[in-house]
Amino acid sequence: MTPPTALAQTVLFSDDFAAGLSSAWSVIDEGTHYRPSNWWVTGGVLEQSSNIHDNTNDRNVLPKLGTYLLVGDPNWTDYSVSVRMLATDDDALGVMFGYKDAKNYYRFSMDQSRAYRRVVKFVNGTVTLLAEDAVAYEQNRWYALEVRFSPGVIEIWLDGVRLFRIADDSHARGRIALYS
Amino acid sequence: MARFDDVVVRSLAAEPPSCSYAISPTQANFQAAGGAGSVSVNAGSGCTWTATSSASWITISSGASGSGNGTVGYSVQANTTTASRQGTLTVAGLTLTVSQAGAPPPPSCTYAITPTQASIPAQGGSGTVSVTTGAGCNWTAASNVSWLSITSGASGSGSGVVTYSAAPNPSISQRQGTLTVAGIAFTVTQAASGCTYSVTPTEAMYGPGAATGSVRVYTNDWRCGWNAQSQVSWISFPNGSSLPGPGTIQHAVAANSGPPRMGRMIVAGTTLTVWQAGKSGSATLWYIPPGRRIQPMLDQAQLGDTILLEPGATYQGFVTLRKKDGSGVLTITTADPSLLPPPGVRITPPYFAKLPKVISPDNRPVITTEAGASLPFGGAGGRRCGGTLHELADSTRLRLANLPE
Repeated sequence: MTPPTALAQTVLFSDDFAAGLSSAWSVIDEGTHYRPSNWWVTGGVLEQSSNIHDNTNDRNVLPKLGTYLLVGDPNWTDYSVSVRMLATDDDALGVMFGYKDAKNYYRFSMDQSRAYRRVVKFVNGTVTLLAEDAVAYEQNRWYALEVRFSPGVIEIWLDGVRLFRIADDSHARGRIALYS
Repeated sequence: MARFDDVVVRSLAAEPPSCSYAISPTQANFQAAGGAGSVSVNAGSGCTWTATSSASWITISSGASGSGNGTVGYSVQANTTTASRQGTLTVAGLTLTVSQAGAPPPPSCTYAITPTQASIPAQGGSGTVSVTTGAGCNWTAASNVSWLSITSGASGSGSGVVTYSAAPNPSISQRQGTLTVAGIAFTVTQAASGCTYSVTPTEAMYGPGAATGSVRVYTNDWRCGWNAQSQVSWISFPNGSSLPGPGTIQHAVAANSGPPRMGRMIVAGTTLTVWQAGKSGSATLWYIPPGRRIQPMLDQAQLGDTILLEPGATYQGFVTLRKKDGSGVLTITTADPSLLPPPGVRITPPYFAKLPKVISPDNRPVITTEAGASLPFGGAGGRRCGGTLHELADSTRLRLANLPE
């Protein structure tokens, strides 16, 4: 299965990082350990090399605050986010979407050491698990992630496979972020 | 370490279809009279469009908006000016140019009238003239003489009819007048009237002596001649008996030694009656024709004279008996005593109809007398009844003749 392609989709934003890290991105560090983050572009690839985290190794602790690189329009709605991502270690990485502020957004993340792929939502700082499986990613493998975020419906596609379809209308619009 | 690449954010919202539009035609031509037109809109399904007019004389009549294929109807008003004009309709963002011709210039008008002349009798009359011309061609009709008047159709546009009226022609010559109708002369010829005459007076009364009188003749034209003829020998025309036009003719009356007489003369076709008093010895006999006033004759007569009234005729009072100098009596009696009983015989009612009568038109006395005047009753003699005769006027009929003495 491949994600359906809408006719005449409008590209709201794209960045292949060929020109480095543009000023459109904003770095938000929330992790309390190994601060600050270290976002940089090399060879046309964006990397975050800091092991910044909030010192919650427990798999079931949902916030998992680290760092994210924020971009976009807070009024974006009904959009998809495609990104290729790869981890050279075993920590979580993913994409945040429907981002209103630091306490209100959705986040897809996958973790190799804790073996999960999950979607959580932050609503006024309260974190809720929306979907999850117990699959760990493979290190050093490029994954093609697509998050389809329509008001009320969230779909997570990974390498052309839909992992989750979630009905939730907590957030209808917002920016995106790359999470690490 | 996490690596990211090729970030793309796409909208998932359905894009409106990419709409393209076409209209046909893009130009339209109209005559000055205007009319209706339409323009077809070719657009994809869901592609909306509107139609608006840039000119007040172009009105969208249908399809002011639509979606997908459609048709816009419009109407073009008549162009009353001679200049052409252009306007546009904007349909689905595209322009339809509407061109309209100007109104044609006024036609070069030609006119004809029928008939071009007419004859009217002397007593006058009316007639019509037909005007033939093109639509929109204006015309007027007017008279150049006072006796011809336009009674209807003094102006018009396109073909029409003019009605005129001619007054009677008082002249013994025919006359012509013209109406100018649509710039064309219409000639009216009116026949001449015949000569007409009026004569005054139409009667005369004379005393017994020779006398002259005159009669005035009026004509409608100075060229209307006439003559006079007498039917009796005692009336003559000493200064000639004809005139070439209006004028006065003298007539002479010979002395009359016999009874009163009546003669006629014909002047300009009119019969005039002449009465002449007669004589009986030294007395004058006056005759008053029926219907004439008694008073003038009564004033003219002298004591000893006799005034004769027509038997059975009615004369209207009032009569005033004036005091006259001299002796004798003035007798008023019937002109034909033979119709009445002889003297001394009482007149009975069957004879009343044969008596002349004098009546009063109102309640005033028929006869009154001045002081010293007297009234003779009877034909052969009389009695003085001075002063009190007016009392008899209480009756509406007073029989004056052959009253018993």
